[in-house]
Order: sequence, then structure tokens, then C-alpha cells
Amino acid sequence: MSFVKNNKRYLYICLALPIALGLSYIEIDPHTFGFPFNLVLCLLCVYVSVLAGRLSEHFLFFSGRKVVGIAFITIVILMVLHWLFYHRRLFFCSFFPSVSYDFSKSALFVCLWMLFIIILGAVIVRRLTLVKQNNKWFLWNHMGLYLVLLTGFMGSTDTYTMQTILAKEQETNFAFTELGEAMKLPFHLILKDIQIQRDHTGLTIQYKAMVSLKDVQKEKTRSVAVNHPCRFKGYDIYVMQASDFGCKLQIIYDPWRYVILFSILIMISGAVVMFFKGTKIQKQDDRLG
Amino acid sequence: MIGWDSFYVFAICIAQCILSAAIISLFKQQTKTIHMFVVIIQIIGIVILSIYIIGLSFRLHRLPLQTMGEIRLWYVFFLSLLGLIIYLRWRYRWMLLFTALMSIMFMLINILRPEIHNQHIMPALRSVWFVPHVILYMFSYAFLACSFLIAVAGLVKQQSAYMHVCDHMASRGVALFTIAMLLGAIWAKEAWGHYWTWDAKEIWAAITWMFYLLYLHFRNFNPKHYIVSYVILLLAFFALQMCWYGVNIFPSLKGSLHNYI
Repeated sequence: MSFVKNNKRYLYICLALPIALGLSYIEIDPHTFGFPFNLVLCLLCVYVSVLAGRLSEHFLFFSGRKVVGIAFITIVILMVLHWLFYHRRLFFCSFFPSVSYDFSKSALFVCLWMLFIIILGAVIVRRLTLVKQNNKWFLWNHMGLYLVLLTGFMGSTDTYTMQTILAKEQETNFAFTELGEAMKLPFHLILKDIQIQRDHTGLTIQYKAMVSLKDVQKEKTRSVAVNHPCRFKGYDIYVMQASDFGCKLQIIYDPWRYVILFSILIMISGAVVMFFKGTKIQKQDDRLG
Repeated sequence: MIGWDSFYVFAICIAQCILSAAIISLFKQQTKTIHMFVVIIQIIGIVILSIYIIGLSFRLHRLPLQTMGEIRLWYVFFLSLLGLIIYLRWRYRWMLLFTALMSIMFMLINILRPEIHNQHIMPALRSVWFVPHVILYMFSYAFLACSFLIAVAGLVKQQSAYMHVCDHMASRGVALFTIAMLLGAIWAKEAWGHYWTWDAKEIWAAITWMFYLLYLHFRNFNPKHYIVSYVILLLAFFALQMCWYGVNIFPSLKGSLHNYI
């Protein structure tokens, strides 16, 4: 028994490693949590964050230092792991999963992401309720990050990325997902024209596709260029590749795009203030995280 | 006409100015005249570089921000400027020498590797977001490079006195890094349809960002453990190099959206 007591920390690590490895092999389809489950999950996340924050005030089961330590170790491990999987082709052994494996869709990634969001939320709640001064920009920055992570994650469950290849004058109302599933679009897409601008060496400088978009009520002709997508009925249309005969279009349905953009703007404003004000080392009483 | 062919002439002049300023700043007797002289020579060096950048912009009919060589010019510019600001504000005389040596190294790379100036510019880079994204990144890299140099000095001398300058540099650098990264995310949404794609470059940007945030939070909770803080800054700077150059070494970047560099 004394061995277990003395080496508790190492035993926890030994237990956590196979669990982490096991979770990393389980792939999760983000669309499983699509609307309305993502909204329920979002509210649940906020509730658990508040609960963890309030409980920690009374029972002090995690100090500010531990919270930050855990959160950062989690993220760094997450990033390193992701990097390792990204570069798995460098490792000549069969231990790593297949080439099509996407770590950001693994159960391990999702669990760590949720854990980080909850811890960050708990930190915000603790700070909101316990510390009365030097709070404004701390809360603003952390709230921005919290919103970006939460809405980014929840938004990915409702986002659909599809692609289609069209020749000139070809019409379609279908596009294909990464997995090759055909999805019906609520409008028809016709490629009218392609304009390719080349430099004196013949290399492409810019390309533009003229597309006609029509549904039951209306028909519109729009141009789609790199960095200039067009939006129709909640769908964003991007031109990915173009030749003189046809082009590859990407169609994205992302209902959370403005929510995420708003969260990003909160973070940017916080960073601008941080640039001018810098960071201050807080007093001992304020170091709650 | 100003172009890459004449860069070596400008580089020699700039190197002479910033290196002279750095060496004179190390003199033991620092009179007001010597101090003024150092500042003026350093400013002349920065002005010559500015003239070159402006001239190159006219030559290229755009801001020189699209190839690795062009981006290095901005890095040299911000590094020299920050070296001067730190010298004026905190009187760290050795700072000018380190920023000068780093700047000269980057200018040398530009002279020795002329092929980096002839890269084809992909259509995705032709965006209004590109200029603020890259300039802010370069400015933040310069801040973070200064924080690294100060951390090395603090670690060698085993002194906590450098900590407050490290805090200033790192917090400003992180703020700019955050803004640049988020502007990049908005741009990515416009260009590729997603704010974040877990690209090799993006992963390393996130790792770098987390390291610097770790430093800021560690400083907040453990202000007396300055050695650990310096070490975190060194690791963070290593991550920054991986983000900037390191990822280019790995073959997986070929499939990446950031493989234009």
C-alpha cells in the first residue's frame, strides 16, 4: 500500500497514458453534435464552467496556479501530439494511424478541448466573483478566448465543406464532402465564364469565375475570385482552382461564421489594449487565476 | 534604381551604421555626446533601410511583403528600431550589439540566397489582409527576439534585474502576435473558407502563442522564479523559429496551405 501511496502521481500518469492513446484512436464525426445538440452542449459547458468555478471558491480543490498549469500542459501536449500526427509520415513504423487520420477529429482532441474550455470558464467565474479590482481587461481577454474556443468548436459541428468541379456552362445543384458524400444544394450553380490573369512568364496572377446562381425565386450572376468569395442563401462559394476550361469550387455552409467573427474581434480588441497597457504582476491576493 | 541587385550596397551602409552604433555604445565612458552620436548613427542606419524599402516598393509596384527575403527586410527594420528604443528607454548598451548582429545575419542571408527574391506569388497572397498580417507578425517577432536576447543575458548573469524588460517585450510581442494571428484567421476565412485548419504552420503558431502565454502566466504566479521564466522564454523563442522557418524543413508542408514561403 505504501508503494501505491508514495508513487500515486506516477500511477496516475501510467493510467492516463493508455486512456489517452485509446481515445486518440476513436474518431468522432463533429456533425453528430450538430444543431440542436451543439446548443445544448454549449449551455452545458457554460453551466459546468460556472459550477466548477463556484465550487472551487468554497472547497479550494484547485488553486489558480494548478488551473493555469493544467490548462497549459494540456494545450502544449495537445499541440505536440497534433504535430506528431501531422508529421506521422516521417516515422517509419506502423504504430501511427493511417494517412487519412485527422487528430482534430479524435475523441482525445475533443475531450481535451472541452476540458480546457471548462477550466478557462471556471477561471473566469472565480475571477468574476472573488477579485474586485484589476479585473476589466483580464476578463475581457479571457472571455474573448473562451468564446472563440467554444463557438469555434460548436460552429464546426454545423459547418459543411463541399466541393464541385464545373466545366464552362455546366450546371449542378450537388456538391461533394471530403468523404465523398453528395449533398444537395438549395440552389443551382452554373459556371458562365473563367477569367485568368497571367504575368509575362505565363504564371497565374489572379483568377475569377463568373457563376450564375438560381433558385425558385431569383437568378443572379456573381463573380468569385480568390480572397473574394460570394455568399448566396447562407452558403459561401470559393474558387479553389481554375483552368481555361473549368474550375473547382468550394461551397461552405457555416451558420456560426459571424458569431465566431464577433468572438475574434473581442480577442483582437483585448490584444490591442494589452499592447498599450502591457501586463502587470498582480498582488498576492489577486492571484486567483 | 533600387532593386535586389543593389541591396548589397545598402546592406553594407546599414551594417556599418548599426555596427558602429553598437560598438560605440559599449564604450565605458558614456558622455552625453557619445550617447547622442550612437542614437544618430543608429537612426541613419534605419533611415537608409527605410529608403531601400520605399525604393523597392516603387520598383516592384507594391509593398515588399510577399517573399521570405522581403519579409526579412521588415524584420531587420523592426529589430533595429526596437534595439534603439530599448537602448534609449532602459540604457541596455549591449542590446544594440545583439540586434545589430541579428540584423546583419538576416541581411547576409538575403545577399547569399538571391533565389528567394524570385518566387512566384500565389493569388491567395494578393489580399488587403496580407500587409497588416505580415507587418504585425514581423513587429511581434522583433519584440520577442529582444525578449529572448534579454532572457539570455539574464540567464548568463543569473540576475532577476532583466525580468521587467522581458515582461515589457514579451507582453507587447504577444499582443501583436495575437492580433496578427487573428487577422490571419479572418483572412483565411475569406481565402479558404475556414478560420483555422490545423495546418503545420498554424499548429506551430499556436504552440508559440501558448508558450508566451505560459511565460506571462508563470510570471504572474511565480514572480520570484526568474530562472524558470528565462528558460520558458528561450523555449518559446525556439518554438517561434520552428513556426517561422522550422516547418519549411518538413515534407508535410508541401501539402500545406502555407507552402508559398
